[in-house]
Amino acid sequence: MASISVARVYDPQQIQPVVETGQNLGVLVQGDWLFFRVDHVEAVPASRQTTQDLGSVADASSSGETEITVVRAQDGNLLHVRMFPLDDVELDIFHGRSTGGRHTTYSTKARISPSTANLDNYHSLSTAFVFGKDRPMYINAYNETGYALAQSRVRFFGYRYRLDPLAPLVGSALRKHIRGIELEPGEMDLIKNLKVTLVPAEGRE
Amino acid sequence: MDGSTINSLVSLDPILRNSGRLHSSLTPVSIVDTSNTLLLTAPTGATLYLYCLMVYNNNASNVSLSIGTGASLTERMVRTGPYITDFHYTEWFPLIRFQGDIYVTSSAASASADDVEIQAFAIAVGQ
Repeated sequence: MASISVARVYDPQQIQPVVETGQNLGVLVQGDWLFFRVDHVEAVPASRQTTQDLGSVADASSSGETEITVVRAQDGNLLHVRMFPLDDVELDIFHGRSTGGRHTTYSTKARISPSTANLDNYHSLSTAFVFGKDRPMYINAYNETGYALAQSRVRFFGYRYRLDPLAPLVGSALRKHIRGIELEPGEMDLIKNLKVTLVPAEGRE
Repeated sequence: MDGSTINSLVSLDPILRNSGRLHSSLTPVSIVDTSNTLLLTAPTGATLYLYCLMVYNNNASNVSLSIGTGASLTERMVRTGPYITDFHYTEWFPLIRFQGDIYVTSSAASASADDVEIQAFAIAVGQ
């Protein structure tokens, strides 16, 4: 039977690729699992080019939800990133404008501030995935400093995975297997030697 | 205040600790009049946290300095000095933030070249 593992992307350690080239990946997108073979993995280093300035923010105000264009993914690509602010702002993260709030509890929504790094040295709690070009990330930067800020920069780093979809029959068998649904004998044969790593690509409900 | 205080402040602040990098003038800037003079250029997109100035004054009169960003010295720090004639100063600051290039204006109305020299030491965040 297929060997399924779940990537431990929030563990308090340096960011690492969840799979290597040639391995299989299961991506949760809008409540459903999609399955791919990864044919290329490359790093995206933290740099000026992967930094987005959300602009000037007046005191006790916010930048407004802004699409993060520096971590747009090409179609057929998955970006695996972490982030941290370079200015004294609180970052409110969304996957898709407004609707896809991240870091939520029942009654509140956590933000990422510069001091988050004091408890989360590797920025692992900021881990996020961007799947394809139609699922961009949005961020709203809040200024609670007591004075106006001329810029509100966020820096990203991580990995890019290029994805090659597994055959539809294989995907449907894996979906049944993950959900504990009994497989037909032919379906068992399809996935019996597969190793798949699952990533929680989106927090949408 | 001295370098160990700066060290303590940097260790307190996650932005400087995680993303800061030393950035300073390669040569001193000579101030010959009261016009606004570029003291330290910020790397592209970077914020500067000024922590030290070296000032040499060989001018006939004492000198005070105004330091800030842009032509009108917005984001200006309190005036420093007076720097007494024929003295050299190393002055520490508690990481004063400037969101761009740092400019200086001197009170010396007409100094000879190299009579008033200033060198700035900062931490840059963002390049």
